[in-house]
Amino acid sequence: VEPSAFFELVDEVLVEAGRSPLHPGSPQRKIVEVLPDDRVLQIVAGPGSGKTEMLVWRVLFALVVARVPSHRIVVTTFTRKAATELTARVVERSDALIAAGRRRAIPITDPRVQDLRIGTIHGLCDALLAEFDDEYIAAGTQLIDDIEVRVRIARGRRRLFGQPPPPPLLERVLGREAFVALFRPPWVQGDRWPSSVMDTADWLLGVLGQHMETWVPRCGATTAPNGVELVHPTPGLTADLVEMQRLWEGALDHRSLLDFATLQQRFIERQGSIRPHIDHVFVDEFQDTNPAQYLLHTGWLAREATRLTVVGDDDQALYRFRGSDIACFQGLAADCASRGVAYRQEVLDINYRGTPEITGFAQAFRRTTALARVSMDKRLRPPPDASSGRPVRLLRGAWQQLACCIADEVRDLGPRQGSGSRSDAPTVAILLFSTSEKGASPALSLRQEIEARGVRVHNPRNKVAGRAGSPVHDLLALLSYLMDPVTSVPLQAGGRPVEVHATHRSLDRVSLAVSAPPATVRVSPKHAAIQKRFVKRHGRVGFPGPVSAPLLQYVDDIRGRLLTANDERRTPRLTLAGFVARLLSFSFFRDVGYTIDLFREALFTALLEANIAPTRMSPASLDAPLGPTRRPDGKIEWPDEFWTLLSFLGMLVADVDLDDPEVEAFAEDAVAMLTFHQAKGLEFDHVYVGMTGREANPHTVLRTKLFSGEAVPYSVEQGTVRTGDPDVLELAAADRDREIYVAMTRARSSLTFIDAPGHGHPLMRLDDGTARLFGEASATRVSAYPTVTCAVADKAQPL
Amino acid sequence: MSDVIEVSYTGDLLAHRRCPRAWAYGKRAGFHPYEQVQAMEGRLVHHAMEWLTREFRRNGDIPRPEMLRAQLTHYFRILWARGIRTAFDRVMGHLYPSGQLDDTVQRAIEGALHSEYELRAVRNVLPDDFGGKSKILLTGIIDLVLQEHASLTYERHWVWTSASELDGGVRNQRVAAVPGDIELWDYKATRSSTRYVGDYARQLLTYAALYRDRSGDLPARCVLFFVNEPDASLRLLAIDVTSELVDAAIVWTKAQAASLQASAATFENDPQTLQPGEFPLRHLDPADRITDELRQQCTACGLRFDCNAYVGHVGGRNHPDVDILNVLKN
Repeated sequence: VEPSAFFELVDEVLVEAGRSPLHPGSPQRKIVEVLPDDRVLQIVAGPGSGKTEMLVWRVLFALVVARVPSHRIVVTTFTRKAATELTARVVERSDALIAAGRRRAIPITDPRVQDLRIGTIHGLCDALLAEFDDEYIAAGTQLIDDIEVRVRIARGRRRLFGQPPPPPLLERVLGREAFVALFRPPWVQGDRWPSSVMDTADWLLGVLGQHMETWVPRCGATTAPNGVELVHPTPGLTADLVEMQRLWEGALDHRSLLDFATLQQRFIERQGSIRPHIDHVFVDEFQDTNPAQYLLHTGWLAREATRLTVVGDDDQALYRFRGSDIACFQGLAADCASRGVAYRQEVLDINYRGTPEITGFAQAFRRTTALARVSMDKRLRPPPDASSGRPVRLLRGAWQQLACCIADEVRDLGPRQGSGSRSDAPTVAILLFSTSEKGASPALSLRQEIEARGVRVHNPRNKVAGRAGSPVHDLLALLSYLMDPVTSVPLQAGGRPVEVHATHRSLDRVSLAVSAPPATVRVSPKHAAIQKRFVKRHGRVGFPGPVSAPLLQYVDDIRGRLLTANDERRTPRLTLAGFVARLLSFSFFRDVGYTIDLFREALFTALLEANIAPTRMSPASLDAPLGPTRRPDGKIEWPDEFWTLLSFLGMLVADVDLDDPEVEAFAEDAVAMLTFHQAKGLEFDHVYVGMTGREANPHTVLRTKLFSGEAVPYSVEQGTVRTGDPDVLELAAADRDREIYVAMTRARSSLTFIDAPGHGHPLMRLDDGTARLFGEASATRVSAYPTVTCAVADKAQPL
Repeated sequence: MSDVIEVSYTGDLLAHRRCPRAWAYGKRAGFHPYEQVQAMEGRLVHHAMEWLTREFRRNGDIPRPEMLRAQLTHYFRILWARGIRTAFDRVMGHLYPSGQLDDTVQRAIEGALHSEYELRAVRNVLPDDFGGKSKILLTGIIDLVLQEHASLTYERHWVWTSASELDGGVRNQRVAAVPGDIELWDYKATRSSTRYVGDYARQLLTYAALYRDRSGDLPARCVLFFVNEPDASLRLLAIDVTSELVDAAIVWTKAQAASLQASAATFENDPQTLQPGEFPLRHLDPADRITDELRQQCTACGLRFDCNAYVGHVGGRNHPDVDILNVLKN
């Protein structure tokens, strides 16, 4: 198909789909056309600018006009969900194009869009290595996700990183305060961090990730020292990190496993064998690329015939805390110039999503905050024919009344609430920097206010999915009761009864427990604390109340039957997962309705699976039937691997802020309460943005720079990093402003900011950038709530 | 939020027809089934047929069973790594019974070119019928088969008795393919006597409609291959394809997708009210909705202990399958 005929068909399809045709000479048309001398095309696409549509048409141009076989095209998306959406769009447009071609007697051969390689970077690396790299296949390598990595590190950290000479490697690195503080979350209180096993696992995950994704690609070849070693007296730190990485990779290799960071590294090492099979690579959300991924994406260019198309928006880069570096996106043009690779840039800056008021406000925010100094050249604009909408508002007041006011508004908007909703019911989102519902958090009180008005809210990052009373907590409590029931007995004849169990820290209490203590493994007693909390919520130890009695009796019966079966030399077939399935059939669990509790039950089954799966390759499979046996002294013995699982699940539920699962089926029919990061890529009719007042924290920028080998001076005061480096401070401020920019540009019809200056939470005051834009705008009192005022951003202002 | 419902023909539409309750707890709420009933067998066979055909054309020889096993292990190593090995053994057993390539399989790969074809199609729907969504992304996988010099003859034939209702039945009636015929094949890990054969025939007609959208032509026919059928003469079933039939199949499939959405809506109102058992038998008493074939799924289902259909079907809670105190069954 000739380009001119292709564009005629494209216009026909776009008009059919209710979109505008592509005007000759427009940036859209320039983006779609794959020019003969194109090597790298960078599309800088603002929010709501239709980048997905343009990406789809460029892919179809490559297939239909440039005749690139579909299996030689790779499209990388940020999430699996985005991959599904993109797949659906490509299929839809491709079929429409073929149909339009038939109508005009322009025959289009089936482009086999189903063979396009669309997926996340990790999924694609895995699939490509599996297809083209024999060694990878021979190793039988299995990709493990972050949950499983966390499990493995938490379980094996001492064995893995306990290398001599003393102090062991783990202790040596942990002992370097100036280094450790770089990874400390800013909201952590107290002097000591990391303080728990799971904190340590998270810290190790962060260290290994940043080392492998920043230091290795940028300094690995020259072995330049980590910047921390240059600015603080931490001799040997770089060598220790290299050793840590070696040990971790060795441990993974030993089990034929790969985590995401190692997979990327393995792919880069073997990319040469895959390069000849790929002609065009598309990368979406390129602004969130880390240095290792950047090396990988630009690594395709080593083959002369391969093209690279990247799409992104530097103003929407949010993932520095996970290792991404905006310098990758911003430096692509210069990098291409230094390599002698042809480079083209196109900009999409018309926001078709929001009203002119929202777009104008967002552009003004870009122009008057740190973004103005660090952003690439573009100007967010509304379409010329856009109709005016509601003004951007600021609700300010005492939090309690403000929350009621917002809840009333949300109810009155009539948001989508399940299948009975009107099909045109609007979508509503509350976007907050933190949606934690721990303690008396703003997110919790706002959720309660909205739900009190009969409106369902979904908050997948609430950090409380495992708290007492949750099915996650209760199911673990019953698992703990099965293996190690806490009983109340006197230590001596006539003495006061005390609680005993087999994993108690006190040996005399262990000796009186029903179960024998684990033979060779150390087990945290946290599972028992969870069990006790469950039992005591419904009664007392040994005296369950009417709610818990049937469940505890059932567990007693199961334990007894397992022992009897073993005594009688009959082989039980019940597994841990089968036991949980039976528990879930009790009305205590089954009667929860379509609520978040239902999804927390599902979460527990997923957590159990995630912890069973790592052992499947090992001889001691936790898929094996439960096999307790009775010792001659009457105590019950459990295999050590079951103790290990119980110990780990106990620590997981006790020490990790578990979030609710992001279940689309539930989330789509509720008001979304999301963090700024979660909101990325989404859009809603009505958006409320709050908790914008966070400080610009320099630690993530420092991590990027220090792991890139730069010597940036910084200090640590009470566990918190400080620096006076102007470049770092500006980048940190820009990182914060990007979060707010992303949040505000999710809105289609209305955008409202929330400011509760009197609230004790430091984030509840409005950020300076947004506050400046409302300036002296006059505020009116909201009638039902005397302390709440509403200010309206004036369109006449030079927004 | 997304405007697309992703619907897998086998994983959603057919699973929902087997048991809406099991489908909803698994797919809508995310419960992890603790004894996976592997639906991978058909996928393995698709891949095996393509590979066997390619190897035969390249070398002129029928590959040995160990070569196929190595190929399956190579491509599906994730399954292998996760301990799911039984599906490999079953597929090997179907294709190489007693260590020799099955006669039907041999004729199929000698006479025709098989290529695995993943179907993805988007259909616009009315948002009011589909929970506010306006598009369905339908996914499935078939073999695209080009008949060559030694074309196959099919002894059994699915005859449509009502094009509008898409009803039909199996007749012993010979159908001969000719070189150049394009066929869509699908493999089912069941016997030919399965009560789901009508569902499978409608599924293939739907695929034929989607194939027509892409290529502009209908296939000559569709073919079902029952890989678990011991009687070689019953393994293949040819299915007539006409424009009228495939149009009706699309309507039928959309109706199934709408039923799926209706079940999802019921589940959202009250999960407990979603009825278990064969969806087409929903007018019967719960216990009568469990057919012999569905029972094989129910016996390993994690939701069986308080399933009114299955508990009724096995005669009450004392049956070992649903006795929650029975530790001798998982």
